[in-house]
Amino acid sequence: MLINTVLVFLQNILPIFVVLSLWFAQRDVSHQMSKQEKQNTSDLPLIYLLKTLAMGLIIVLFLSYFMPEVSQLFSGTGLEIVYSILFSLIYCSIVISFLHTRVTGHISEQGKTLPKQQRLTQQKSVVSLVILLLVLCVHGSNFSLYIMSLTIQNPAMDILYSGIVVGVIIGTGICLSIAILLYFVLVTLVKKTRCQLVCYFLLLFGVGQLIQGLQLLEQVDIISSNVALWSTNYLIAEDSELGYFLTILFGYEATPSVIELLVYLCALTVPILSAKLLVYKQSSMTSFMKGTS
Amino acid sequence: MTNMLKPSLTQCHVTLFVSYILLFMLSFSALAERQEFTVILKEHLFYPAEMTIPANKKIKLVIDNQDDSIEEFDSFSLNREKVLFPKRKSVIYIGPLSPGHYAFFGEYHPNSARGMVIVSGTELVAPADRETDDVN
Repeated sequence: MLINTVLVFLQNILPIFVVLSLWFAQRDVSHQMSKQEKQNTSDLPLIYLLKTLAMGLIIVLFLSYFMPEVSQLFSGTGLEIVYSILFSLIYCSIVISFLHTRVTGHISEQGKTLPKQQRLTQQKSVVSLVILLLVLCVHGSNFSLYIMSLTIQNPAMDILYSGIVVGVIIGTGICLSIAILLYFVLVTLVKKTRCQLVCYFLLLFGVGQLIQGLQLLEQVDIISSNVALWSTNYLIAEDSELGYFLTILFGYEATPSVIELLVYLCALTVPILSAKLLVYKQSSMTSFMKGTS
Repeated sequence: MTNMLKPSLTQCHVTLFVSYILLFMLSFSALAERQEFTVILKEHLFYPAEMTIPANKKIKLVIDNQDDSIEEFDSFSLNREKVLFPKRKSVIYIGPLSPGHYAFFGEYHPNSARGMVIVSGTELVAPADRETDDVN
């Protein structure tokens, strides 16, 4: 029970800790800025994070409570449809955040007007909180379901209780260690590199979430799946420790189907190309404005 | 004016193209008839613990959770993860798979709830007989 609780905890709660770690690392960029730059960014205060977490926990309880009913909708595919929508929303929010980061970075490099930069940074902070809320809802509800399954109508609860508590403590310890390690690795980097690394890490995480949503749709035959293209199980097995982490963080799939591979590549390249296009448009507009004035 | 229209027309074409692909994929999935297999979960054990399915075909797997607790059907090799609510039937689709052995387990009780999907390369007997054999 102890090992199982730790594994389920890591599988569901680690993404929340990773997103939190990235949120703090990104936030820390603004703390290292000069007074003038700080005024430009207008980051959201920490209280918003606490409010988001509280709201997320309420939604988690709400979702867990209605999950049995939701699962019976659309001929038993309700849960898969709802979760795939939530996974897609996580991906969309991450793409918006990615584009914002790239454009904001470009604007600050060019030393552009205050109000626009302030507005963009504030929008980015709100999107980051939305990402955190969605990740908390999706992954938190899965873990709460596990706890519910053990606690409700279980005569052996007294025996299991210590295993669950110790499992949660160990799981929290591992998640905290990884999150803190990731945070300090990112904090040691130069501001520009860190910004880029955080947004690309987040994008990869988002693509992983999208793939999880896609697999849910394949599972209930809404999207047709084909034979696996290849198997990298001999290199990194999905049920190994490394496989676990790669699956949780970046949607690693040892046996991908054609559609999974296509979606993964498109979901990764389209935002990167869009960001490049946006930055290119911004710089051409700036040079045009300079030319006319 | 024409310059303003150009991107929107291209966007329309792309949207239409993507919609056609999605529609094709959805209709293909909806129209296809799937061979059905049933697995029962009772006292954190899967019955049958082993079942044989045809190779390179997608099948419908009905999992009947007869326990009073929630379980999660999980398989790394099958790429499947499904929450099984107590006293309810759940449906997942697996395959098409190449011949081999594919393990599955109950994530909340992995020591007891374990099973194996055997994908056979040879032609299987009539689906109804197969299913009855498996359940009993």
